[in-house]
Amino acid sequence: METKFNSDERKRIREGIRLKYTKVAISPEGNFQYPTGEAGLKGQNYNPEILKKLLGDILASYCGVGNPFSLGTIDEGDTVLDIGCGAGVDTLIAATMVGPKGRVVGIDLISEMLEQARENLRKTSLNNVSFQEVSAEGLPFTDASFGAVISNGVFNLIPDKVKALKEVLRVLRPLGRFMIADQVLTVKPPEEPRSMVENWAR
Amino acid sequence: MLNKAGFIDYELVADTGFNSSPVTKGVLFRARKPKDVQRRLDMSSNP
Repeated sequence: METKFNSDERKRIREGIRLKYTKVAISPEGNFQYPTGEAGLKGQNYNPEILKKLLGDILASYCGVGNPFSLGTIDEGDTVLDIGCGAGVDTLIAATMVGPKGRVVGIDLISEMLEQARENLRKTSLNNVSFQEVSAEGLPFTDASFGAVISNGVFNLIPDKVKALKEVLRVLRPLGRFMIADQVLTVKPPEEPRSMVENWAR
Repeated sequence: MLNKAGFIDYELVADTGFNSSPVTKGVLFRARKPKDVQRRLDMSSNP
């Protein structure tokens, strides 16, 4: 669905997302209709051998809607961008996969979530990860920077999805992979999409 | 939307079973960037 929102609507959308995810940054438990934390990871069949490499209290931050890693391989030496990284669980999982010769960047717009991501990173010995407060609609990376882009439960929250998708395309290398878990509507969108603004992040 | 943005090999792979509301469902998508982006974008705008 493509809808152009004005600056006030975009501000209200962003505020709605912020209100929800500042609570999620403290703990995802009770904030979603589906399992979170280790139960969520198990429910989405994340590789247990990979999960063993991360502490339980990092895994407790997980609130994804699927497993992007089930869509293709992430190899040693790869460069990966995680859009809407939240507390960084998928970012850190990707970092264990790419190894010291690879690089992973996680981006998010919620500073509280990024704070949790950086805290989770400090609990590891990984040195191939960075986090940035950046919008997917305007990525600050040069063309063809990444071999893979992942995202988990985020694109539904982005106001200008086509713009964000074009940015993903731009920063991917030729034949690079986009692997995404997300929420889609199962009913017809409202006639007036602007009515969705107030409930955007629900 | 993936096609419009210029991706190739896009597919809806599966439902995830993690649904955020009664009117939404979790799904998995994947796609690839073409080898020659400009040619792909030209083909999209000139069918």
